[in-house]
Amino acid sequence: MNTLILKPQGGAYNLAWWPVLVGFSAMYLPTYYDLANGIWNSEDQAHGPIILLVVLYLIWAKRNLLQAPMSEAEPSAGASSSRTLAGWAFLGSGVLLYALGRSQQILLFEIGSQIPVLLGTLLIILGMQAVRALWFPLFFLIFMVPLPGLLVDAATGPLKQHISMIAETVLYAFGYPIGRSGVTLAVGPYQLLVADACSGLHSMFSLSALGLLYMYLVGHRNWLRNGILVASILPIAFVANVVRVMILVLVTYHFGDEAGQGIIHESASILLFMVAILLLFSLDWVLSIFFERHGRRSPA
Amino acid sequence: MKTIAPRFLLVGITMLAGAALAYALTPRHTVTDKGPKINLEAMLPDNFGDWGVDRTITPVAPPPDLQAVIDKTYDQTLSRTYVDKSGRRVMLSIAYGGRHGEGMQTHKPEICYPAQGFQIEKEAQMQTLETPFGPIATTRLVATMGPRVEPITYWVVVGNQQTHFGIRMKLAQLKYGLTGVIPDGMLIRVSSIDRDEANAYRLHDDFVRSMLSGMTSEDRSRLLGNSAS
Repeated sequence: MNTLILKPQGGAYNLAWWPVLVGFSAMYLPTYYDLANGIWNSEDQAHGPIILLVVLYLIWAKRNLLQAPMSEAEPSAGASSSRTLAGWAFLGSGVLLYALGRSQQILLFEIGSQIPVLLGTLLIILGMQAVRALWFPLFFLIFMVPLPGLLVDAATGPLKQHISMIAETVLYAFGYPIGRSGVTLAVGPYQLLVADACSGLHSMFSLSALGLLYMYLVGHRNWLRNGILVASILPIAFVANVVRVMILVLVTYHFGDEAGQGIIHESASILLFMVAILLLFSLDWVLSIFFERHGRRSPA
Repeated sequence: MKTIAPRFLLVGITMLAGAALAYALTPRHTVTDKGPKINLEAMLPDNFGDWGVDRTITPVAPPPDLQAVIDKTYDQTLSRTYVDKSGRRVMLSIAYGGRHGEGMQTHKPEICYPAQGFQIEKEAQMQTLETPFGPIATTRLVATMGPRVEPITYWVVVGNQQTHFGIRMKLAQLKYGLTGVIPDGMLIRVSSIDRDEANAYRLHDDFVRSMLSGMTSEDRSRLLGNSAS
């Protein structure tokens, strides 16, 4: 009894979260379990668990926020009750979305529902302040949702076409004996099929996640700078993927089919990531020169 | 804490209710649990009308890795080549899955042909095939690989509902799913090698009508479902 009473207030507040934790676990632990035994094993969705861990870490980093006693508990009854109402609306619709998604195997709903569920919970229990502080991890959960099949089907074909075309044009300009028919590249005696995975659609998705995380962690205040970075993520991912396909073509041409299909194929995807990240960092560095000089000249 | 706890509790209970609702809504019975087992080989006669199975040709089998996917997701597949009296050939391929939800996408011709190096020459378009047994909502496209030009006609049935890939298929599945039943799914594909697209589609139409006439009404209804709305 004594110990309970003597517990610091923060600790008691933390303990108060347990019903929420139990509820959330009941909803999403089965989801995570299924994902871990399912699509997280596929190359396309391998970033899923990483996104989850990042989100958990980002929330953990702001854990003192969750302990803060409700300072703005009832500042003005009107504002408070309307945000509670909004909170319940988010939580309620999120829970329904989840139930539909989980029972009918619509991953978009099942995984996407985490966002309204958490948003609603924060609004009900902590208020707007917490939502403002945690907006990024909430938003970042989007990247856990697999791209809808409709979008994948619509984007994969054109991406493959363009990548094959550019790879052919560039390598031809460098004097390689390369020809193309649709998405099949013929280089020397070899024929290479630019497969769906080569469209780089999913790597674009995960690179976008990485780029946005980088921006959030660096935390530039200048919105123009942020805007330029955001706008350049997809083009960078595309260029990196063209580079990857060209490297694979060159490896096949110089070292044979087996080299092109073997370990190099695997390492090329890692290379793709490194090239893209390097490009993004360099761009940010170039921007920093411009913006900081600019800032010094006109401090206003 | 006294004043706060109910909120936490209410949120937690709402979440638990969501988990329970999801569990309750999850369909657990397949259509095939009740109905008679399907047997594609027996359903499709070797001979009908002017057509008969061409034993001299075995259709190109999918590569082993794709076959593995097919075996995993499809309870049955059938592929045959039929030839008519004047020597025209049509390839018929049917894939059937008792638990639909899985893998229908891998068989979607728009995906499965390019996966084997074909190019989709002409975008898929929907077209109604009129038969004496009701209209069929088909999708048509032309796949090519080098000199091989292959017009394709196909349709899909989910449960007893003709449908198209995409959102409409998901809705058809949902209609069953929310009543606690996992629908089965069937994809029927007819194709021929022909540079003359219009001619090929006429041939497909003839073939399909002739095939349906040669089947028992019960088997036929499994292949046709109800017309797509």
